[in-house]
Amino acid sequence: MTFKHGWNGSVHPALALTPRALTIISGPCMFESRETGFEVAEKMKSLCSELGYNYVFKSSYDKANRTSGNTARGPGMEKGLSWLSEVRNSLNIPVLTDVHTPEQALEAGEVVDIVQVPAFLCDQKALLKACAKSGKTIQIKKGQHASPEQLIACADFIASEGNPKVLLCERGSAYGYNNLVVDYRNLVLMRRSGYATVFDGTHAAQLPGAGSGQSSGLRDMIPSLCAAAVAVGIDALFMEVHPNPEKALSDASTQLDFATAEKILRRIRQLHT
Amino acid sequence: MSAPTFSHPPHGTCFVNASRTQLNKSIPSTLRAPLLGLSDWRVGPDQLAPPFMERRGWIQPVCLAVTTPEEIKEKSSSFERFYIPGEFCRQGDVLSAAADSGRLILLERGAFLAPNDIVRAVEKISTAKANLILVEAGSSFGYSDRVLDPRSLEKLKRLNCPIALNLNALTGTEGHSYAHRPAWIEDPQFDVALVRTALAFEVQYLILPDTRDLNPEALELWHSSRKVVAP
Repeated sequence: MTFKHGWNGSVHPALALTPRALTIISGPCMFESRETGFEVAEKMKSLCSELGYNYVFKSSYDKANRTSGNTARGPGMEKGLSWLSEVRNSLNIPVLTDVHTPEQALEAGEVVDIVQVPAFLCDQKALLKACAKSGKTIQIKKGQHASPEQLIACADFIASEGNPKVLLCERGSAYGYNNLVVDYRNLVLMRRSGYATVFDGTHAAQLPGAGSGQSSGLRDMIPSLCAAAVAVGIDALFMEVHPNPEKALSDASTQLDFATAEKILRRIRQLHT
Repeated sequence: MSAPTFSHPPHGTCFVNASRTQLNKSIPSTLRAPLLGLSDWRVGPDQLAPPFMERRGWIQPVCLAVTTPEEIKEKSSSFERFYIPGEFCRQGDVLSAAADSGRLILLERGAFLAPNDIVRAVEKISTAKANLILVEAGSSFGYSDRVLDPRSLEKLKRLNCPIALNLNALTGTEGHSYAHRPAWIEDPQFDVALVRTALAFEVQYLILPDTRDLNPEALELWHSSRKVVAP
């Protein structure tokens, strides 16, 4: 199987995206501590292996666009990248993190397998250019304000910079204030474009800014949102998992505990075609 | 950081895209309001049109759209005004660097951001509130369309900062890639309603459309506002 521009789906020596096995991108929203990261990575790797999924570990070293300026942002780039590297090498799994500036894209690209462009920044050409230059796989999240066509045009821009390894990620669209809905037509359009397609079940359930200075969300909707996305057809599923979501330092209302994550992964096995 | 040595642009000032590819198209021939150039963040400052200021005879530097803290630090000595596009209105580091620069900041409310939440972006640069202009660029309304919500203008007004209305974002061509975008929403007569709304909320500045002239009736309305200072 190849994706658009002939990319074979390889993101890591041990992983190539393929329709035969769904890829799960998962980890704590923020890399709160080395221990938390390893706990989630080990648990999710084991679960994915048991259920026949590929696995990519995800975590952020800097939550640079929090709703409020008074909230935790993470361990910072140096420590965060060092922890990501440890997870990658110890567990032999690909790792993903998000970047916010062209400089970060190049530096993080030295360590991680997938650099992620945040939704708000999906159309920032300087950032996309730097991500392309990193040579790594790039996941672009669709801006809550952007049409699927805009996202596909961003992917085409990255490819025109010489890097065809692009994942398009649907994470919901603005639907009135403080609310998101998932338009499943987008998954069809994204896949039809030939790029690998990802669904982010965690952020699609968010209610941005609805929690008096922080994002709240509808965690109980995540299993259904994920199941529908898998049924429509995706190459990878993104979901944030935390050992104790209620105590998480970011996105506490939409991160999943291990038990719920496991239920989702078991449920969608029958739906993936 | 030393105190700023500049003032806000005169009431009624219009901003136009000053990149090489757009400049000739973006200055209405009948414009009688003060004019400032605005760089296009999507193409970057390298594409600014150098002959712009000589052509119109103004000495004020253009307003630079910025997207990273590094860019702000690097350009602080050459630009007096920075524009933070809506997509970046929650980027803490960008806002901090802009505040630290001591320059005039035009902060656009992201189309995805609820009007009630702009206050948190303002809090992130609260030290620079005296140097702040808030920019209303509409709210996402489905794909590739924005609507001007008067409730948002009301919210911005309560923050006691001057307001600019971004007509380019509200009527622009950014969303033309969406296959199902209806043609009727591009009716230039809507410019008049948008400018009327702006005047009703004491909006002080306009950002003009990039690729077409503003409807002459809308421009005349803007000129006729008693507060607009002729250049």
